[in-house]
Amino acid sequence: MQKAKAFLRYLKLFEQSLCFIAFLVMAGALMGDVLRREFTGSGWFGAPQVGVVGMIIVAYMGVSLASANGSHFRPRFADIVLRRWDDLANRIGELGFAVFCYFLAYIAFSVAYESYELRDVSAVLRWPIWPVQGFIVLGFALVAVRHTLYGIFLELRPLPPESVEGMEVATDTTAADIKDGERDYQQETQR
Amino acid sequence: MNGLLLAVILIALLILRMNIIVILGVATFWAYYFWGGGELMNVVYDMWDASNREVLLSIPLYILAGSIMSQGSIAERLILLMRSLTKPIPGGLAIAGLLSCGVFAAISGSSAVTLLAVGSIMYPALIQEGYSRPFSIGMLCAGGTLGIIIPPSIPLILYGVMTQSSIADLFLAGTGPAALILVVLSLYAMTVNWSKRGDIWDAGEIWSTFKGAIFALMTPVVILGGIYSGYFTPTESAAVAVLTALAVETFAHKHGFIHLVTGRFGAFGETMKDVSRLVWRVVGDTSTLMGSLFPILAIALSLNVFMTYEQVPGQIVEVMTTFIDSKLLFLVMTNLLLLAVGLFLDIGAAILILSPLLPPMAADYGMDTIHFGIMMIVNLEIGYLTPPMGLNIIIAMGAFREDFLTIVKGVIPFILLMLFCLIIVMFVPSLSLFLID
Repeated sequence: MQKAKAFLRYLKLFEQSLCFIAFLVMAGALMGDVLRREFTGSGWFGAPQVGVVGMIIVAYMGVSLASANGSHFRPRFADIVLRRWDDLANRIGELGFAVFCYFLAYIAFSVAYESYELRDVSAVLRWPIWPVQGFIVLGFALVAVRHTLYGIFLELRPLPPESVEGMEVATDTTAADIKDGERDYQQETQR
Repeated sequence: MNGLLLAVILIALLILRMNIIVILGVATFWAYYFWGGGELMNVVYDMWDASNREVLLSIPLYILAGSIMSQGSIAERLILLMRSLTKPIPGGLAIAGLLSCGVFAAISGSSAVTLLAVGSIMYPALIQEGYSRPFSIGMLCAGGTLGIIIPPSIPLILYGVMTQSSIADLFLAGTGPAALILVVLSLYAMTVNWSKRGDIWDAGEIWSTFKGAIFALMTPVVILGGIYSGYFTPTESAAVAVLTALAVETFAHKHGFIHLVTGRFGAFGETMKDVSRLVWRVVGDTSTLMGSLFPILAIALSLNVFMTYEQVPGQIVEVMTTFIDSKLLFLVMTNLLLLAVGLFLDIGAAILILSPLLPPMAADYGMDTIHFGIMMIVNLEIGYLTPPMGLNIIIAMGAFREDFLTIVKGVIPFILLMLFCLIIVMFVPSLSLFLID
């Protein structure tokens, strides 16, 4: 479980770094467009499309980040039905989400592969679109891996964030972290 | 038969604790497979088309700007200004809280952030000044909901994307109902706290607090003024909002400009480091929010394309008009449905699921799509205050350490007042549309 926990930490760092770069590209392209129009009178050709590419990367890499922070929306009113089998229901919920994401990643891969074979390019920038579609595949594949691990090791699941809207800093703490903390605390007090 | 089986599967998925992405995704794949010729790749093609839209760029940028602003000292500066302005009015501190929520909402665009940023400062102050706990917490929870109706608002952008309505018009249409709610809540705060008032106005205090809050006050002016003067599109204004937020935090509130002008480059470097750490943190938060919202948006838009192609909304309208023969009955039924949905669903998900279905029906009964959207948002706004899933109740429990019953008792009068406002918004379309050509 410790290896899985470390893997998920590195995965989160990778995803957040990628999102950070994509965000810079997105915001930079749009702000550059506005500033250039302000100073030279004409905008930056294709800047909004570059921004859209950045947004797509942020959005689909963010799916896994949302999983890492426990921020996906889930109606909880029906939880009462399986309250007696809480662990089993949670495990099924995690693995079910993983299966759905593997399936979606597979379909998205088929679409990206078709775009690659047909040499589809974007209308404005004339760039091939399959690398950008590849981020949909990568995003859902990483979510699937993450939730497979959560399904196997329920303790690795993140605690719910402080806000459903995700605007606040989500708790970066898992049930396993709390157990580790309790064990450390007990060891400290025994000493 | 397939439809019945789908309903059973969706209920089973709910019981098995699947999230909305899975539930909506299964429904979409099912529709494409059984009723759309079996081409599952079309789901992802439609998701791709849904993602590849410039109009969506404004969502992450407004969220980012709001996050940068809300983590700085803006809330505190706004509250000081509002307190100095409302001091001699009965219930002045409560009104200051509501006004601060209103102005802060115009910056952050989020209900939860508004409640946390303003409430964490105002709640202890209200208690100290002798306001009752249930009133104070109810007022702050209700004030926090203004974040989704005062522009720029993410739910309004989502509604605009789903119904292909003008986002600039939706922003304009939100101002009238937001002002109504603010006035009604303020009058209530004044009435129940008639004996609580402070000293007379102090011009010196007002001027000094105004100077402190000037940059915070300028931000909505720049964003909305830019859109309505035709200077920026809503998407560009979101980029300008990020730039303004960064500039205000770096150069004004963290004194970067003074450090730079006086040649204290070491201190300026420290300021830049602080801002970089802030940006790293808020980009993580914003990406998380995008990641939770975007797949639902893409799948919902994919389902929307399918339903439009198969003329489902038109067929539903036809069926409904045989049962509901008047506009009044339609409005009552729709609002009851939305109130029920608001009890259990997040507002973003509710808009994405219901927007393809309800506005075409409203149009059939002669309602304006923009007016209907505003009514829908005001209705779903009440869901922030209603148990069991009221987001602001949950946040208030955690942030202010109050028990559930105190909060519920506190929000009940505000729910009734907001229902009153909803009825006015529903029956007076000009309140929403008076600013639109």
